[in-house]
Amino acid sequence: MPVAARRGSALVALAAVAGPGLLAGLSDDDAPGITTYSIIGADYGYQLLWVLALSTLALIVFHEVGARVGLVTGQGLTGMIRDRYGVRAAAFAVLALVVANVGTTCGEFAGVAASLEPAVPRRVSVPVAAVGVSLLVLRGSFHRIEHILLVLSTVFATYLVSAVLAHPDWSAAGRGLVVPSIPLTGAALAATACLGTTLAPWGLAFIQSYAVDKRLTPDDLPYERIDVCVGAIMTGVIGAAVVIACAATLHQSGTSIKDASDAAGALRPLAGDLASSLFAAGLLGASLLAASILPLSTAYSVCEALGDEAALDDPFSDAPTFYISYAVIVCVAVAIVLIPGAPLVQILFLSQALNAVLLLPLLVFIARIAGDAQVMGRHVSGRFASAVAWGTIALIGACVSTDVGPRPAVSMPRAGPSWGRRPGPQRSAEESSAGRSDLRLHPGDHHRLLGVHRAAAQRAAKRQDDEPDPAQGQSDPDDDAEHRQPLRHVGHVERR
Amino acid sequence: MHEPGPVRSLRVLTLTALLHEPVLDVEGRPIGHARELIADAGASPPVVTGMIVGGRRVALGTATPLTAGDAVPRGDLLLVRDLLDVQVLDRSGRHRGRVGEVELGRGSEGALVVSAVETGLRPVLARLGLRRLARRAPADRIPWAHLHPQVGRAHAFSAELHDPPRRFHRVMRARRRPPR
Repeated sequence: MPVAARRGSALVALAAVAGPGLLAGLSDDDAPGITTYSIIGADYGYQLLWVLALSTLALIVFHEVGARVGLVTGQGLTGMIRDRYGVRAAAFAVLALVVANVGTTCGEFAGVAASLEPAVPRRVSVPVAAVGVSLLVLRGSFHRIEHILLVLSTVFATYLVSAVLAHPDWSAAGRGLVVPSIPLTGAALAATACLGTTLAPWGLAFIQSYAVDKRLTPDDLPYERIDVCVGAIMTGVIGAAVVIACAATLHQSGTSIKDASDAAGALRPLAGDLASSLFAAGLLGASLLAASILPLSTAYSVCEALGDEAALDDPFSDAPTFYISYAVIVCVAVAIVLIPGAPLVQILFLSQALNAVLLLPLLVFIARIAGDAQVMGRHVSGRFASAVAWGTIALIGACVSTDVGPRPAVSMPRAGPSWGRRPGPQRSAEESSAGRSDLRLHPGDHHRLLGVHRAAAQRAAKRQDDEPDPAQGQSDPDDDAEHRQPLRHVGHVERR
Repeated sequence: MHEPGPVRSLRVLTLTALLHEPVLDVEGRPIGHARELIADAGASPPVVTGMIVGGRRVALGTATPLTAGDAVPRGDLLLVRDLLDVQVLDRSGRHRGRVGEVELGRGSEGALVVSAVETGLRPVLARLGLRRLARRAPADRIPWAHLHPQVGRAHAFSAELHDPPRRFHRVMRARRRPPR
């Protein structure tokens, strides 16, 4: 019996079905996502809002397809890969997902740490957050977990308030949203990062598995479509609010940022304490939500590939693989974030590269399944839906091949360690003497690795060249060289 | 996709091991490797009647190639396509594993039949080439008699959409555990 049919009116039925689309969409606005949007707003103003609109459309398309495949086949993504392509393909996919998701989970816990530092040290905040999200999943029932995660999602409203408090130019924002324009420097990288952070492989795996776990049926599909659309649109609106808040303040004042916590700090003198605090609170909530959902998505994927499908309501004795997978992902991510000297930047680089590698095959796979009448029956994708899906895949493929493909992997070891640093003037003596700053992880590291930050850094360096800063001249020349080193690998500079 | 492995016993053949054995013609010359086994789904247990070698259907025992373009007859069960890696559900529709291996045996008249399926970690590890680990891994053997096609919710191959040969996609039900 469909979930919707067990409830009364349409509104109540919708409330009963809603969840997969909301959670999968909103968890895409995680710490790396907020960072990307912040940097786009600070560096390009309102100009790239249309990319966010396109990313939201892509999110709607593929989350709808993923949810539909889950509802119709009753199988999660890696389970379908095993079913259709065999155990080796499933093993490869799940291995790549596990590695990529561990790296991304590191980013989420680093986001928790960044949003609470320096008030709460990371050796306290990260373990507490890990225990909290683990208890939530290990001890709660499906509905309790879903309700708590949905309540946690309301923290994103803080970004909407921040955007309003920033007193943006709404007409310019509207123009940026509907009129496509390409800034001269770094726009392709920024667009790719925006697309990449909005549509993530783990989100695709999550929505399908979670819809199956919720026991939604094809009869629930109309309500689930609404859930997906609302979730994706809210994701886009929140992303746009972050871009607008940063565009109205940081871009206007010419302030360049390196991560979302920088944005929160930089907003204080420009938009007031409340906007800044709300921005930081949003980052904390976003990190916690994604830190809960990422290990969950991974655990689903592992169990499906092994043929040991589990559900959130299963006790540990019935689903040891599920709970052990969840715990292992959380523990490994926490350990990586807390261990001094761990190669965080390289790990994040690998996870982002794997996400990029995984995204296209997963999208192709999902589109093929959704277009297979033997599998999907009357819920098979129509011509228009197929054309939209394949067109989106082509667009993403073009972005990824333009951005990721030509970048030489050999640049990574040389530039890597400096990417985790804050700029020299912002580093305290304690940080320097403890040697922690070299490995400090900021949410922006993800997208620095994808290239966005390199474009931002290039713009900042250009400003510094134009207006020499006396303080900068006193910094350690080696340190300065390290900060500038990534600029040597900016794709569009090398391609000229 | 499927891994080579020795055929250890004539009494217990496994599908994935058989797939990589060379197929010989009546004069003993290899004609290729089987990539699919065909069984008569109407029989219980299903009797293996042929295989697909190099894109051609071959009747079992004669190794006589049929004419190209011979379609799989309606009602036939393709063991790789229709059985391997599909889900096993219990009576309440909950997941109870995934078919990792198909066990073949001798029927009452000496015909090769599908005797059971194996779920669990062991067949997965074995197919990935991790045989040492596989020996210690858990597995469940479900006799064919305990499996029943079931048109459940969201059946991907419901009757009005997909004529036989029926994919046993999400349609297997095991009796080995009571419903929760």
